Amino acid sequence: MRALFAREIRLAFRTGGGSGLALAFFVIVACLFPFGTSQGSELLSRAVPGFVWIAVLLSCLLTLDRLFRPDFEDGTLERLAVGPIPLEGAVAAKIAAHWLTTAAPLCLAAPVAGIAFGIPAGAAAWLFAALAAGTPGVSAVGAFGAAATLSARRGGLLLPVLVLPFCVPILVLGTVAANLAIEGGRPGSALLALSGVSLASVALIPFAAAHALQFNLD
Amino acid sequence: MEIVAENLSCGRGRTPVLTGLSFKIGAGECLEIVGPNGSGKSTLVRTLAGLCRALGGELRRPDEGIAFLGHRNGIAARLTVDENLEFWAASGHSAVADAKRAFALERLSNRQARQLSAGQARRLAIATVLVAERPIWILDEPFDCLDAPNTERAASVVSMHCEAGGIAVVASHGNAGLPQATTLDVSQFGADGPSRQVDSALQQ
Repeated sequence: MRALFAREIRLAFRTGGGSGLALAFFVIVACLFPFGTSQGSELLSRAVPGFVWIAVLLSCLLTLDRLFRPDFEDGTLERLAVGPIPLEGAVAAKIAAHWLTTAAPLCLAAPVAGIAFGIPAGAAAWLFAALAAGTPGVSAVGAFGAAATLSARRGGLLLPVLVLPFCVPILVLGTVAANLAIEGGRPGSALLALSGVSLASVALIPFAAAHALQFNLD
Repeated sequence: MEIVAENLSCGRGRTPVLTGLSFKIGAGECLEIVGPNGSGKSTLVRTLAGLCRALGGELRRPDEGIAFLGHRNGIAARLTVDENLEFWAASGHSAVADAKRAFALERLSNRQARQLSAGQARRLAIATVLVAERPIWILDEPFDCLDAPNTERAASVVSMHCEAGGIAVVASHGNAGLPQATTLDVSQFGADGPSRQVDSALQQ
């Protein structure tokens, strides 16, 4: 599993267009936001966390279709399925690598975007914490979507339709945590609930995703 | 360690392709599966590897220690020859160096796999099976794309694996050059009788 994790990281940097593309997409969407809203309003700062979360979700989704597809197409996946590590372990390693190469840079960029849109630094720190807690869950839910749509002809288009509804709990809790911080409330419990949802996804989804992969390999 | 099939039926999805297969492969033995195109060789090896479910009968095989190589090489195009070998290797550098020597890949060590020719990529794929150091090899037409000297080279690696007590199951067109192998012609076991009808079953 360690070898698979290292291979994923290496491929992510070598292939290009993966994590860098997601970050560039996020920055561009963030730049569009002020154009689409009336600036300086009270409403804007309250909408910032939700907006940043949605931008992060979409950026993550952009790369998820590539999570299993290259390995499916070049035959690595069927060899891994036969090999000594359980497929669940392989899925977990891939989720971890996806989070580290794609979601983690977004977690770092998002608070910067938040501050640029005028939310206080303290709230930006909570936004960062919420993203760091929630994005592993996004990677995991996305991995299930990627596994399930692997042999669909338009898998890349089907993926967001399948995955985004399941991201709603993470989005709601993550936005609530950051908004509470902006309003001076105590976001701790929202953050805990978010971590719970996210951790449960990371713990349970590899089993479901491995089943979906096995089905697609038959 | 053995693979035993008793009255085994296998197929793709729920469509049966082969029925009534019975055989036994023990340690040190090699089974060569032959048959015309579309006769179900790949379906059988994928079932033996556990990728497809058996549709009937019984299949007993160890759950671990199997290395599988299908039509596709399972090597990452953007990784170099060395990186691909090291990823599949069970142990350290000496096995990788031996495998490169066995398949004449030394001069290609730092080349990315996408720059290899089809034959070179196939050699690399078989080398990754070798370095995985698993007792059971299940190979689907492993000598595809290989020229005569390299086919001989690869066949001798498979023979040595069996001589060392391993099991090898090799789907081929009967030209693999594995003298000690038992041959199983799957065209007699088509689910719909002769193999030509199996062709149409596969197309449905």
